[in-house]
Amino acid sequence: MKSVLDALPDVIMPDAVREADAASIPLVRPDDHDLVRPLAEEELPSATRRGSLMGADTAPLSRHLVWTFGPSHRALPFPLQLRVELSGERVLTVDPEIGWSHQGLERMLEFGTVDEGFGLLARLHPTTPLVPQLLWAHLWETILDVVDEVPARVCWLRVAGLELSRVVAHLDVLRALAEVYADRLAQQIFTDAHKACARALWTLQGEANFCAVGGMRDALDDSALTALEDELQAALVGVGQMHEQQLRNVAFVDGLGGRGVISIRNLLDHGVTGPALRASGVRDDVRRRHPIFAYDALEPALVTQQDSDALSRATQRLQELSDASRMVLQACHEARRADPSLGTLLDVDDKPLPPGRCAVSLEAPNGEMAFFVDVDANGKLRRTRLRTPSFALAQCLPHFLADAHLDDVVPILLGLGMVGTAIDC
Amino acid sequence: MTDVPDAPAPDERDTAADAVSDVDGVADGPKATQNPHHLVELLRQRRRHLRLLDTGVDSWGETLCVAADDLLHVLAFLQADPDADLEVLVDVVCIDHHEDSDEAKASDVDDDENRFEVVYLLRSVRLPYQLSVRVFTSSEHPQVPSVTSLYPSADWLERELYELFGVYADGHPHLRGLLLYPDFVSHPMRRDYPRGKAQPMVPLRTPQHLPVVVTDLPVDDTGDAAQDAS
Repeated sequence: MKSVLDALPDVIMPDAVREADAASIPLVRPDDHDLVRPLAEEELPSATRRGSLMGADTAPLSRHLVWTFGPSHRALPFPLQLRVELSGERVLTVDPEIGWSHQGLERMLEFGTVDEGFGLLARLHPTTPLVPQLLWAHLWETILDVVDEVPARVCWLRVAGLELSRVVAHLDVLRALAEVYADRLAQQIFTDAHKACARALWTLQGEANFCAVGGMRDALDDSALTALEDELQAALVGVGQMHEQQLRNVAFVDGLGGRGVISIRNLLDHGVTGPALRASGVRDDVRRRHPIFAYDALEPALVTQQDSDALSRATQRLQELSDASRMVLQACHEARRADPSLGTLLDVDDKPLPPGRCAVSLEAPNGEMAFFVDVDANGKLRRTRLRTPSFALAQCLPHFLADAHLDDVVPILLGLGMVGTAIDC
Repeated sequence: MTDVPDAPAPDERDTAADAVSDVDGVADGPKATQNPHHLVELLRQRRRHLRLLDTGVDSWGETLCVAADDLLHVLAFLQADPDADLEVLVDVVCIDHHEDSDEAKASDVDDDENRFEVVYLLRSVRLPYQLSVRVFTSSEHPQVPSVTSLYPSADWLERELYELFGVYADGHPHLRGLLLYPDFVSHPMRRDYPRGKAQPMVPLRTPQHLPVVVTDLPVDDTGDAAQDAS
């Protein structure tokens, strides 16, 4: 009988006996010496190189676990790594490491033009790039003192884009949670709705072209708006019915209820905002605190939960999703009634930038996103700073995961909706 | 490390956090005022010994500049005082005022003294107040007091501050790398960091035995898939 070994004589097959006799490879404790990165990740590949952990001493593994999340690439050790200290299967401490994949976006923005910044910022949040791009536009409109000159139709359409981004981001989290608990019906409904809404968002971005300071580049006719409304309403019919059903789903409620509980104090201490903060009962929303574009006329609903666990955060997203879709429809309706002007586009890069500094923020799907720029006396961009909600969430992971069961770590992580590219920008 | 005499006790802060959940902090905070200089006046009234080097209003809200020695006292007061309640540290931003041109160097005699400016962006959840606090530090001893004792969210922000700008956060509990690999040389966000500077390469993580991926079944002479010859 021919086998793989006949065709590929140099193939290396696992040798179970030899591996069983191999010396164990203990994982070292995290080392917090100043500016010295722990070497635990150096040990893990040597364990996995043999194809399995057979023969390894299980005692160290039961106390310490180095857990790598995200896509892997040979040039990068890990996108997110959790060094977990365990007691049995219960998490005692967590030390997150966010990898070495620093993108240098801030530096690239300083060297590039304002227009180039729109393209660069799309990397910050690949699925909903409109959020950082619109904040970038608002930042420069604030510096140039032309916020009031942006036409009403543009403001309404920007709000529609932001809220549609929120719908897409929330659906993305909910479908991932449904997948974890093998809730096929919910998974199907959320996935279908996510696809349809992402398609609608893509169409809106493509046809309107929001990447401009002072207005929009391309006109978006009323028929396109009507099509967007119809698509959104059709996509969310199932989700609306899902709400009550999801809350009665035993697997969902038991799987998320009481998991990942965190105190308000820890959330505020670590700068966590958005759905995670509101799920603990804090009535905080940047859209109401500092309404930009047309948010003051829309009055976003301020819904909150009380339990501050993973179930509350999922419920919070479900409820925000319905309010966000309501705002998209209302914004489209108002945009149709508004003057069709696209505004006067400002060519910021044509002349030296106005000296000064500016910090603005908006409510991204995961919380408060803040941008800061400083322009020197020569009109040269001296400093650009991007602060994303995912950075705060990643830093707060030890508190979200404290005392969690190992099985609960993945659902808790997925429920936070962190965006890896936004953590180390 | 500087003492923090005004730091609130943990119990007091927990109570304040509980109060936040009962209050809609958006527009109708109980002691909110429309005075654009509310926080600065509060500091001048209740902490007269603190030196405010500069005050003003910008797009973020009120802004004030303090000496590095006073930073923790100012932040502790603004965090604990119920009329300020700045309990969220949104960001820590560092600005390098180093100028490349000789002209600028000649005109700015204080370039080295005030080279790095660290801006702390704060806001309240319960009240509609936002504030940025600015601190300057020198090129020779780039150091600011760590604010992690007041705002734990400063932990990663100060690690980033050191790694990218080389500004040391004095009193930080675990100042280590966050974003860059250990062999990275220099602080890449400084203005005098050469744009094309080469860095040590990271060795490729090549396993000793490359995995063999079988994409096709072995084929015999007749062109059929391998099967039992017996």
